[in-house]
Amino acid sequence: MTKLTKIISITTILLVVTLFLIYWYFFSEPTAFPEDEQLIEEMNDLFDRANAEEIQDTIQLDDKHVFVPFISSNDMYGVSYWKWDKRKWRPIRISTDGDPRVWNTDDDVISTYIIWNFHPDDDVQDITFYLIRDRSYHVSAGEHTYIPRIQVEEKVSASDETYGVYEFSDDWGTLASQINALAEQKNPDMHFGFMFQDPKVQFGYQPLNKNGETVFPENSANGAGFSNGHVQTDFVLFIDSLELEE
Amino acid sequence: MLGITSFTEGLSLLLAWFIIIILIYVVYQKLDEKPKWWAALIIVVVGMFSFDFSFTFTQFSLSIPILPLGVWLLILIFKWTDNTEIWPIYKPFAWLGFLSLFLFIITKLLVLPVDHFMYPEEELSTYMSDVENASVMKIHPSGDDVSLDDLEPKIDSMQRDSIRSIDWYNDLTHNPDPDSNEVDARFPYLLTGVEPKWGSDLETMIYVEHDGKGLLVTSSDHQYYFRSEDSLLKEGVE
Repeated sequence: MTKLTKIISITTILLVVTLFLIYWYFFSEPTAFPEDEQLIEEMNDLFDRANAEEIQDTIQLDDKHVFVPFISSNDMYGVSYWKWDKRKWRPIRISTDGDPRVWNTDDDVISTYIIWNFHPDDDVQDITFYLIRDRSYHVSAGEHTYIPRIQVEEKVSASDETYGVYEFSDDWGTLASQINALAEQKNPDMHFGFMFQDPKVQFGYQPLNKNGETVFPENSANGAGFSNGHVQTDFVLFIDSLELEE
Repeated sequence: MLGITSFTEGLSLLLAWFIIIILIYVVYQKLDEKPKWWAALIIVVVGMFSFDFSFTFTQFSLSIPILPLGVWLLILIFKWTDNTEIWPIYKPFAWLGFLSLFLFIITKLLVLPVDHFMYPEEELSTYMSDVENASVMKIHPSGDDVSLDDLEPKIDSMQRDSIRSIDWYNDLTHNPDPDSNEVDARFPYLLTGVEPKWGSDLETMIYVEHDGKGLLVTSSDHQYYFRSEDSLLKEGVE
């Protein structure tokens, strides 16, 4: 064996072993989701203000992401986001306020969910979600640009349970992908850390009680949150009817 | 300027590699003491490893190689393995790898004018080349339930018109009735499923006017407005 072939074979073997280890560590298949007691223990260990006492449900969003709504000992309705990561199910976000929030589980905007857990005292029967971008215009060097307003809505029933998940409809997915693709082509090096690469686009919601009135969910909007590692979430703002167009 | 499309990007890469292969061949033939040809190829590729200075102007990005990291790495490897005596026969290929990085920049600049012929920015067909799967989405509550009405034959006859952005904006925001949230949006629909011309990689959002006769094409750096004689929409959802 010449020296050159020796160098090449040793490098190749090292490379293959490293790749295998990386694959084994980062890309292993998920095991069964832990039992409720274990979830509670793990959440309270990581974040003592969670005070988790009862697991309401475990909702599998895809094979590596699970939404776990819980009730805490001080009567808060909280949410936790679990991810299969580095050979373990880990809570990547725990929060005791359950007002709606966007969870983007993947870089692809199609894998986007709005998650909530309202306190029963807030009496939320239905929720209308909005995706809004306001209209604007600009003129530079004589060239006009007009940005039309986007205002689309999806109505979701929230009467069965305090918690729920809204998975992006095809329309919302298409719209969000187009907005992001264009924004990324415009600013290829810019990343805002939010789901939308266009900061003018916002999510909003309006809760409706059993009389069909919109009341701010006071018992769900205040709490403590904790993030562990990289989790892509976005705010969903409470929207006053005055801000909407018809 | 559109930046560089994936078609011309590909073209410039092909061109660069074509020249590199020729250069490798020429250098190889000239040498008295020849290395193994596959080893020479590997050395060229490692020689391309460099520290770059990258910059972007209006979506056209260039990276200028500054430090020949690959060449240095090779010098070190040959030294560590006590092969310094055979380094001179590999050296030309290592430097060829590094210098070829400049070739990628040159070909990228050379093919740039091709873009303007292949993808004229002011023509609607650049943005709407394949409309077979096109449909229309309502993006504002003032829109009606509509669907597309035989879009394809109307594209070619559409005429460019000026974007009166200030007027359009003011018409909608100066609401005469402060108690009403009713707004008749000018572009309440969005075209979806439209493919731009092959190889252009253009991302756009194409809005449809409320009367169904206007298209507002927004690309990443320009906006164009086109009008049609007949409406592109018909009532009712398909």
